[in-house]
Amino acid sequence: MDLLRGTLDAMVLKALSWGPRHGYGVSRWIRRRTDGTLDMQDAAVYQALHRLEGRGWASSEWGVSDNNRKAKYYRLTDEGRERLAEEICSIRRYTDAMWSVLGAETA
Amino acid sequence: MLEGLPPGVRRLLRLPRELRRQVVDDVDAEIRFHLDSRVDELMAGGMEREAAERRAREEFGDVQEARRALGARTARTERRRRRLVWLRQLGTDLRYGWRKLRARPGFAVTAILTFALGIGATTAIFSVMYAVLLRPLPYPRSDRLVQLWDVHPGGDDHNVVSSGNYLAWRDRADSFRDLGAYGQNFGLGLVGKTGEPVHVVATTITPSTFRILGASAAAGRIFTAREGRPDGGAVALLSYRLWQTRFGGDTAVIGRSVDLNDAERTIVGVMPPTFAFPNPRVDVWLPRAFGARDRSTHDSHQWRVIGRLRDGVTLRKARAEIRVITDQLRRRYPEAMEGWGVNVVPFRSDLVAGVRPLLLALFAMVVLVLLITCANLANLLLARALGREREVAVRAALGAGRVRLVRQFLTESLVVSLLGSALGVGVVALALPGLLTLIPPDIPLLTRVRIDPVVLAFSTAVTMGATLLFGLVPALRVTAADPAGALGTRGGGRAGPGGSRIRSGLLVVEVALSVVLLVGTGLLVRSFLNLRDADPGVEPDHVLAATVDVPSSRYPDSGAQTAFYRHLLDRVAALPGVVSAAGTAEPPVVGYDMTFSFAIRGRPSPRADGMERDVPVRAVTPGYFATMGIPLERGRAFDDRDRPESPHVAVINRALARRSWPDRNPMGQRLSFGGPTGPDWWEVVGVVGDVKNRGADLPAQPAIYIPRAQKPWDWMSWLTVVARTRGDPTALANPFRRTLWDLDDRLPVQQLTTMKGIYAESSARRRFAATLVGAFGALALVLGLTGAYGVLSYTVGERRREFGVRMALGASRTGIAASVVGRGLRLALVGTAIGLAGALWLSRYLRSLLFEVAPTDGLTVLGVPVLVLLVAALAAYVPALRATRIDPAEALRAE
Repeated sequence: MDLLRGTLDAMVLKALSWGPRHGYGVSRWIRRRTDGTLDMQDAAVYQALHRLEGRGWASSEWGVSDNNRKAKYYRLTDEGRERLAEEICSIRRYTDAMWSVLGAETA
Repeated sequence: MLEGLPPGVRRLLRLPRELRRQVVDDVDAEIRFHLDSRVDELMAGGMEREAAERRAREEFGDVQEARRALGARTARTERRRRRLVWLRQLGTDLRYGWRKLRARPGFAVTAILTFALGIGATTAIFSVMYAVLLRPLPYPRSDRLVQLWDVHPGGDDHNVVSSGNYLAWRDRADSFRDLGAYGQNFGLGLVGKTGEPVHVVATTITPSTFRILGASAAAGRIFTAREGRPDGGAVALLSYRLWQTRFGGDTAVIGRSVDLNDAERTIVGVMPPTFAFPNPRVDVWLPRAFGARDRSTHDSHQWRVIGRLRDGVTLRKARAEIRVITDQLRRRYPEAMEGWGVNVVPFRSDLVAGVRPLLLALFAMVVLVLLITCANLANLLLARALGREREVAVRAALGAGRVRLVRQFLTESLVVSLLGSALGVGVVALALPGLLTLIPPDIPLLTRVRIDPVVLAFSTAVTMGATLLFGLVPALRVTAADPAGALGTRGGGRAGPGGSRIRSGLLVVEVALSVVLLVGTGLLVRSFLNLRDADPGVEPDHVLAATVDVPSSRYPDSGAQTAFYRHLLDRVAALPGVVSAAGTAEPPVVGYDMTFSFAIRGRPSPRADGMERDVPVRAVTPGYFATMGIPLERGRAFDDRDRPESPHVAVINRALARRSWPDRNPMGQRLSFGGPTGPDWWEVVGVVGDVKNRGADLPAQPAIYIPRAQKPWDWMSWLTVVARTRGDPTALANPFRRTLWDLDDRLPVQQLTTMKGIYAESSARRRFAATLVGAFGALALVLGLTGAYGVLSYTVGERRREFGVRMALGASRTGIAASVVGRGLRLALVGTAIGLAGALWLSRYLRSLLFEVAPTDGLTVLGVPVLVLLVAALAAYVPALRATRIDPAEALRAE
């Protein structure tokens, strides 16, 4: 399934909402949650992470991963957290609206 | 916000190369970590390495593209981050600097005012220099405009042009799109149905001149080409000013006719307020038509010629072509044109040629003032910074790098200079209209002086540059200190002898700059004083001068004119308070001084036409020499016996007597203006003193006076009445007007002024220059005084202990004081010596502005050092006194 435009950023924000994660972790988490139904490349996840950082919604710092490698960890900023809430609201409104049409059982 | 910055600044903010590398490495590491982790995981699930690597890359997507895209984005982010940090630090530093200033209001006010003076003066002078010398003229492509002049055999290369030359150039030269001609300003009477007749300044001009300038009318239209032909019609163009003041800005006036010197003319248009050609005084333009007679006139010079070069034609090429044409003319008219040449010059440089040296000199001087204020500020800031070595040491110990610390100190200086600049430039902007009235009005383009974006950009750039200049030395000096040493020192970290050395060095620089400035001041002030005391050849006090011109419609011939003027002069002479009254066609300085060549009877001239080189000829009434105070040195002055029909007589001045009869008595010699064969001969009956006729600062020329009643030129219809009064001559202005209008109420008065005013105006530029540089010099002295005081006070504080020891060992208080004063004098002496050398080297550039003073004038060159040393001694007095009051016991205990 193709990724809807703008939804990847929301998923990445959500992935970071439990605490700092590196890009690999974010990617694996999204893939696990979606059971691989989304046709998503890892490169897109990194682009999203850098984009979020550029907008000040995430910050990054180098750390050491569980498998003892140097890894870049991303963490949500306060603005990032607010942004996530807004994204969730707007996507929910959107899907509700879509569903109230597509799920209609009476004319 | 980066978009608004000039490219140079943007480049500075761009990421340095090593940072770029860092960004690329980070992206690579991040991607590598991802792929490695994925491969590990897949292999842990039992996959072969190769398959796992392939799978990981498939899931990732295009690695190269990702590297590129991520690298670019990260670099952008990093750049923005750094800029923010930079701005945040700037904000912090500015706030910090502001707090530091507020904590020391005395220092703050001194520093800000000092800089405000320097930058304000610099901005003011630059705004004038920019408007006059640099800013494009208000005509499209004004760099293509050129001015053409005849060159007088006597060397004047800006002689007005003969109509024959103008027409020949216009018709034959290919280098120009067109050539236009215009005349001198002259006075016209504008007579209305009601009210007093007013004098307006008019000029005649060819319609082509407007097109050459690219000018159009603000209302109505400019002249048509037809109006430039002999039967073109009686039309006129008005200036915006006259239109507003006399006609209330009513457009209905266009197409209406007005009475100008008893002739009806139709107003066809109004020129815009910015149109000030050929000069801002002109109120009425009349079209000038050239006829067949003008074409062959090569011996009467009265036109100014302007041209627009064709595209692609260089000035050099135009010059060559005009020379060729003029050479042809000279072969054709050898008598009139022998020795004459031609000169083609860019319009702008011609317009401002007379003021360029003055403005450049003033600008150089104001830059000196600014440099002196910078030296002074550097010293002030250094003194303050040295008191803060402890603070710097603490900050350095806490991890601030030297670059960061220097930046912080510079930003503090920037607070001073920005506040000073805002104050200085603000005051100048508000006071500009007032300041401009101080500038002699004969400087061209003054109306275009304003504080515009270019001037503001200049003063901002100068402010930044000056901040670096005066801020860098203290910043570098104080951050160079060894933190450990400074922290270990008691008493807040006094600087070592280094601080004192730098401060002394700065003082020497300041003194040297002041000496250069003061020598310039001395020379210009002396020039002005010499000029003020120079003998103009007349006694200008208590003389009123007023010019009247009678129209030929009502006064058709010399007889009618002479009768009218005799009446007028008789009545003016009879007014209360008037000692005597007389008239001349050519008053000193403001007259046109028309020149004529002449023959001497019985003395063949080497020239082809048998004539002597032309001299001004002035037609005057009896009593003129006595009224003006021109001394009669030989023979007699004119009197009532010199009537039109009686034998013609002339009076010559001393300069002509010396030129034409160096070893002979000129009395009884006969002159003719017609040619070597007469027929009218004028007998020299007297010799008078020379009059400085072109302004107080120009030497007198040879000249001939003739009785006005005998003048051979009917067209010379105007007369300047000069009246010597017992009291204030301006009190005579209204009685004079009433007397004139009693005789003829349709005549306006032109140029009513005093002789003293005329001469004062002719030295106005020098007075202006002297006043301005006088103020600069005074400023330099005050700055030098405070600078020297500051340095010596600091030295005394620094050597407190040493003085204490010396006193304890028996040194006298006078000895201590002498050593302080001696130090001050030594520094001043070094600065003076350097400054004098510089001044002697630079002062030759002032030569064209000096009057009867050599650039190496002894009084100035000796006087300035004496003055500077006196000021240094004065500055040393208080610190020296303080040194003598040191209590040895206390000074020793303090350590």
